[in-house]
Amino acid sequence: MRDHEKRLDEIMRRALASDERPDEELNRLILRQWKERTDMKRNMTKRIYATAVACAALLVTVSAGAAVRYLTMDEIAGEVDADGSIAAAFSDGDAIWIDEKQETGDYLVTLLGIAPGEALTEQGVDNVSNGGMYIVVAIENADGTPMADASEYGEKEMSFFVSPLVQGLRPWEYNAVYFSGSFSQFTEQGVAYRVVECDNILAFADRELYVCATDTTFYDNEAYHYDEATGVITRNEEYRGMNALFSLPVDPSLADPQAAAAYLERLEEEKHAETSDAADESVGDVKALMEEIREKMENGREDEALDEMQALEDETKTVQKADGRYEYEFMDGIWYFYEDDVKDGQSIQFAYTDYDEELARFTGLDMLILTENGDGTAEVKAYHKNLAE
Amino acid sequence: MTRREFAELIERDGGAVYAFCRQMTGSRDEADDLYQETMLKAMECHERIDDELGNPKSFLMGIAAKTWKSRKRMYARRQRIAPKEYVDDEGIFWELADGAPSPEEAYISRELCRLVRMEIAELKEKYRIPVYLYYSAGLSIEEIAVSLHLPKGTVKSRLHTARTLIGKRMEEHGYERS
Repeated sequence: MRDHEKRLDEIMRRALASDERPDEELNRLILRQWKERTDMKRNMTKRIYATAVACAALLVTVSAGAAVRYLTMDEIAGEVDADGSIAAAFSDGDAIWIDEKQETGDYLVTLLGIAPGEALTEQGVDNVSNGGMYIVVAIENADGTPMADASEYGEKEMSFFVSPLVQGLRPWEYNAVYFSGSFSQFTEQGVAYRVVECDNILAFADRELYVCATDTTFYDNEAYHYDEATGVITRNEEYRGMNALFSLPVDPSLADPQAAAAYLERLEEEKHAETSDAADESVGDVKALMEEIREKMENGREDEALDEMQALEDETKTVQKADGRYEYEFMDGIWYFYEDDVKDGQSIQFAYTDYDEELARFTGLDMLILTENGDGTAEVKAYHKNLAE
Repeated sequence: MTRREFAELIERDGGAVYAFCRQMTGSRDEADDLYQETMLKAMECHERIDDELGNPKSFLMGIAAKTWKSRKRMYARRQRIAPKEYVDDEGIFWELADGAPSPEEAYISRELCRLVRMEIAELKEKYRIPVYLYYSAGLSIEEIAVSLHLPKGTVKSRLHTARTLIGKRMEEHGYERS
């Protein structure tokens, strides 16, 4: 930067410096909105429960020596179930009560039960998936101290990932996130309850079905091993942290290979659609094109790379290297080619141009190719590609 | 991302986001609106902040810039009704001159800042946004590139062009280059 540029830089820095901060009340308002939003998803109402249980079946009885009584399904549903669908699913004959505990990391995890959500289909609520299913898990601190309340600032301590997994389906690609999963969570009398709702995966019942639970926000590859040959998923015993893995005792006769195949097909379509949307929204497709051109240039296929680009003959210039870089004036800006970026006497730069607000994407791509002459100078050629065509 | 983490994010980067909003809109009320809208949009996709972004500040700035672009007509309309107000220059001009400035030096510095801000506000959007991100919000060139989905070279070039243009306009105002 030249001296006058440095001075201007300093003046601009000072002229635009601002100590103004958002008003504290405005930040509090934003955080309140966060709370309201999450409260809609998670009912965190705390209630004191009477010892006597009115009507529902107790999901899990107290294990020997433990002083914990888990909530009944009705009580859990009372906390998180706005429309009665969870209670309906668990009162159905197809619900599976499991009551299996695993101590892992600093936690004691209990898989209370699972229930297919056929009631949803009957009520016509679920018009997208295959009826849905619910998984209910209780999580306690292994040392017996109460779990933090999922109140105001307690969510950090409540960061768990609970998901069904299927033998033969890569767990990092096929988990609750992709099975249209959502969850409700609350803490009661020191026990955290997590109710996961997701697509019904019982169509895969001829394979091993699992429920995993980690103290991470998303699926953690480190927590489990996946055998590519057999599709079997196992816990990583070396993992430091919670990594429970339960096998579901489901009746293989519930399997429906045709429905399972159709479901997988739908998941693939959705994944593809998401990828396409993302590409449209961002510059992903332009980036791919840039990489393709760069790859061709670097592999001696220059003619092929330049074939579909328009050469901007008037922009060809010879530039001089100074302070370890070449400066090239192009359109309304200065472009810098740093000597460290020059490989085999050549350097390429790209720029997205012509942002179309209606299309919300760039519709042009500029490419500048610098070729060193070996005497401290270089020739820069400019090319343009219209992406709107 | 938990609420606590989001609160920490606001505490850490909220000031920079607000500085950008303030410069883009030119008034505190408009800045409040843009800032709030930015944070609420960030809230909607907070999982992405956790999951795929190593730099939440760039992510927030990207949202702010995009939000401003999509709402600029509304802001422009309001602008015609209520002209821009600038940050008070107190505290700026004293630092510009070496040592204790004379009243005349202080006035010149203050006037210089005012003109610079005025000229920057007149720059084309493609120069103005990187300038505010760089000088007001304190983002690095790399962070701006991430925010605006631009190559680093383009950001450098735009900042350079912006400085060149401002330099020329300041010369027109009678300020010499050195």
